[in-house]
Amino acid sequence: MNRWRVLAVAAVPLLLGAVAALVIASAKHGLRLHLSVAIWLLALEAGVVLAVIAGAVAWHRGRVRQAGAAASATAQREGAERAQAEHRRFVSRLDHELKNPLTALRAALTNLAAGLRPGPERDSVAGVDAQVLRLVRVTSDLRRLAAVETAPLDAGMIQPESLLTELVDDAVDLARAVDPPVRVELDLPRRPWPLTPVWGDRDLLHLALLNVVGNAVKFSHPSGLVTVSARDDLGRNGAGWLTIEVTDTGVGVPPDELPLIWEELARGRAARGTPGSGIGLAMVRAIVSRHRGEVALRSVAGRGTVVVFRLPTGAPAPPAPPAGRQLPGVADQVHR
Amino acid sequence: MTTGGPQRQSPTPADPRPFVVLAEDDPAVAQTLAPLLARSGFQVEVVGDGLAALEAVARREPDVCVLDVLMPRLDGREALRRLRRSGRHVPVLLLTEVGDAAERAMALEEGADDYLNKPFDPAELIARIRAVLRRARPGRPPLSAAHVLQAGQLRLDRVSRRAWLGERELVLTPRAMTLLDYFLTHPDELLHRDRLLQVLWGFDNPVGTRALDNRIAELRKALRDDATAAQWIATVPSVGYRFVAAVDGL
Repeated sequence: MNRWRVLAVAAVPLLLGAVAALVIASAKHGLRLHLSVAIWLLALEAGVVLAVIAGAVAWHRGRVRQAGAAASATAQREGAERAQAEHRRFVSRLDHELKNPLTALRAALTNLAAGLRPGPERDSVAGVDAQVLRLVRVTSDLRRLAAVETAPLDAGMIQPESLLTELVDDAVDLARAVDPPVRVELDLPRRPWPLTPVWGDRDLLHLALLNVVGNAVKFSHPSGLVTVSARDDLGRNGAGWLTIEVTDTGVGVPPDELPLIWEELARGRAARGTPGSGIGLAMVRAIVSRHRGEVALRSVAGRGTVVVFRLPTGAPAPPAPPAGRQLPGVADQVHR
Repeated sequence: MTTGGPQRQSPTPADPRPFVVLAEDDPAVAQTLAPLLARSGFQVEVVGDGLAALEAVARREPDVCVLDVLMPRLDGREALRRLRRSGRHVPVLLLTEVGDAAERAMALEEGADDYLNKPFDPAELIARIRAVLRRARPGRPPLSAAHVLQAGQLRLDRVSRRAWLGERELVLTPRAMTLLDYFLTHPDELLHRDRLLQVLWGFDNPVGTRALDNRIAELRKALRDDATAAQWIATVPSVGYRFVAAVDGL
């Protein structure tokens, strides 16, 4: 179809020329125009005409390629968004289907235990109850994830220093529970002006950061070190970014588990035996994405883990970074 | 289905036990909750949908109504609206299936006295029903049905979500406003930290409780309240908070 259109467009000047020739030829016999042109000028003109044609063709090809690339990027993004939405619907249906049976089970077990004297039978009812509670925790975690994805943002400008100081205060409390305690240190830039504020929901950002710092403490070796550091960078187009890094010297994540860590209910081998349901990083990803930021994790099994947050600075939130952009130097697992 | 006594058309005047209408369409849930309520000292009538709940309330004037949200014919939320529109002030506890904060706020604004997310701890259901009964003011509309609440100099318009201390309008974040609303509709009640976090977020056990501490600090600052000699919000060490001023609905 396109080829015919090109032929039709090309045919127009040809036809116009033919018609003009016919008209002139039939009007006056022997009409002549004598021109003398330097050969070098003819060569130059031919060169210019060819250059224009070649430029036009190249420009057109570029347009076609660009449109194709944009269409495929859009299709890819739309596909990913569709899959994500479908996945969310499935998770919410799962949660919904579990609620009533779990409510009934909990009430039934309470009724059953009330009729039993202390002894092995009552102990086994308590055992079943503990298993039901594990399922309850999974549903409440799924609900928590849904809540952070949909709750309206109570957003404002946040001074990073105060957010991070609070974070580290809470992390120190968590770290005291480890024996011997894990050290948690805050490393802020030493300069005479503060970090650039970020726009966002302070509660949610605190929750996301505390989840990551909590993991860092949980998976640290005793007497390990967890560091929280921050800096602000001027990115492309003058858009600024606040970078927050959480590093630990803990057990790390084996390479085969890295692609799965951001999934709901994903729990690594090292996490077995530590409390938690594996919803934390999925929630972190959801919160960061609502703030148009990025979060990436790099880890070496047995050595430790670095989680890097990048949040847009300034208000209101600047437009999202171009699709497909990755954090320089941290390509393992980037999520936005 | 009625448990806790023979089939009756009206509560026995001699029976001092509080009377509960439980509207729940899932038989597995209804059949396990009814004996639980009966054993905890309530008379119970179980109905399977919202219309049957309205009919049971009209016929038996219960002390409290427990309504599941998702039910056939008429859902719990619409049943609650119709109850309030018809001027019935029976305390209502909603069994919600939604974790969304806006939905929860809506449930309270529509006149629910409290709500519980499924799956809940059975003991928590009993505790909530008792708390709702304690708060009930016979012959007067519950605080949850009032559009404007007043506690001394503090006034809260629950519909426009604005609050004043004397002549001064309070500037509050939406979450602090939600918390203030919950405090004023649950005065003199020990509110556990987990409960308040659930009010704010729908979470049962979030990581850390900083989000709550910050909102309490925001409210205290706006109310010029002193944590050590609280006039409004008192801290109950390592448990939670209690709104200590007397509240009236206007």
